[in-house]
Amino acid sequence: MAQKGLSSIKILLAKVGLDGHDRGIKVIARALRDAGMDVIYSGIKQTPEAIMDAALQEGVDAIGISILSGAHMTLFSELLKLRKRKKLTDMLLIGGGIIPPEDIEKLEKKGVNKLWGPDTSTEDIIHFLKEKLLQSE
Amino acid sequence: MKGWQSFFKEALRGEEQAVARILTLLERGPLDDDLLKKIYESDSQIYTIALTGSTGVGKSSLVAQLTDFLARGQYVGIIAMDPRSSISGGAFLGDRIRLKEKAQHPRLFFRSFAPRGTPFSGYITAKTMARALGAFGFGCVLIETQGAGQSDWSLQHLADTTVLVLSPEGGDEIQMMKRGLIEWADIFVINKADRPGAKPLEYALMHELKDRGHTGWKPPIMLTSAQNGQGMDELFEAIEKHHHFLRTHGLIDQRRKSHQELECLLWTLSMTWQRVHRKLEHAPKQFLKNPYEGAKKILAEAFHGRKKSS
Repeated sequence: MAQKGLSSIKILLAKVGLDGHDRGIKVIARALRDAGMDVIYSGIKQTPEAIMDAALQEGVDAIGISILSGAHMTLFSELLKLRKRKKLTDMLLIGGGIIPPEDIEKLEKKGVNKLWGPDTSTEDIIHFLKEKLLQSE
Repeated sequence: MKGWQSFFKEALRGEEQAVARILTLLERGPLDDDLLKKIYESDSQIYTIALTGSTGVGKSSLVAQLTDFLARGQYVGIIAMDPRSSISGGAFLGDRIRLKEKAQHPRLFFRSFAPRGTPFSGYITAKTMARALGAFGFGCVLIETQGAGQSDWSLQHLADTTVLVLSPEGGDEIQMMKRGLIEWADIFVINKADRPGAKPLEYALMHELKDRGHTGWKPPIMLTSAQNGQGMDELFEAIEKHHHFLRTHGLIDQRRKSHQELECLLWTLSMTWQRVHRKLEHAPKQFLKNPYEGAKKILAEAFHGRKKSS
């Protein structure tokens, strides 16, 4: 039953900043699609501005960011600021990459809805989205 | 939560966020009778281009290259349709990736979607989105869709100008499309024309098209290479020429009337599908033994209630 509801989730996946490593995000894209979601992939080396513009135009429920460059503090802060400015706070902002636990804590406090470090299972991500997005239906 | 009425007003003022909300309603529902009424009443005369072709011929790259031309002095909407997996119900929407820095164009609104609901939902959703964008003051909409060849009968009534994209690798496609898209596409593009096989494909296509042109429009064959921008000026010129041709030959009204007929048909089919599908799920087994008679009974039940089901 829950799987059925999932088909109404639309998510934008993007790589932010100077970071071209896109194997991880492509694995996630496939897993989310196979879980019944509509997955938009907007590619590598995106600016926060471009990502939020795309999220706005596409009308997604969530924005998933992959970041392996180490610039997560700056870039996620920028994304949060833009999400607010563009009145997109009803969209979830989630992400994953090589992010130390203490930074994850800081960023989640600032408003990022969820961050994952290495070795996260795609199931965890699917479960999170399901729980967050299908609740309010 | 605000209702669609306030989004509609904001969208008329050009607020991008509100435009997005209205398109999302059309894409994902729930549909509202009054919203659709409002869209059809606005009777937008938006110029609509459809760009179609098989997977991998470079449609998205061409669309990205066309953005600069189309968005000269007007707002342009791009609606990119992708298939949905019938197994998982999910979809991978990868058309935006080709936009690269063009995604930031200030007069571009790009929406990708995978049709949901019925087999008839895709075109009618795209067309309704195009109409909505027209109502909000956009000057042009480009619908990017996958063409399946012969069966794509409804595509010809979707847009004012239909562009069929081929690539040298897909030479055999012409065979498949002989009586389909080839018969009515307005402009032909051989993309990746820098690769071997482009010229032979052009000749084969010329041969197929030799009988076309009775309406006064001889469909041109454009050679492009979207990756390096080659042939894009010429392609845009061809699109403009076709637009001009439709207008000066009084054909635009004729096309738009057939668009409306198709829209009505697609809504009818879509509504019928939903009704009939529900009935079919609960149909007694004997209905299925003779599927032809079963179909008649199910139609009767779906539209007249239970009384004629004997």
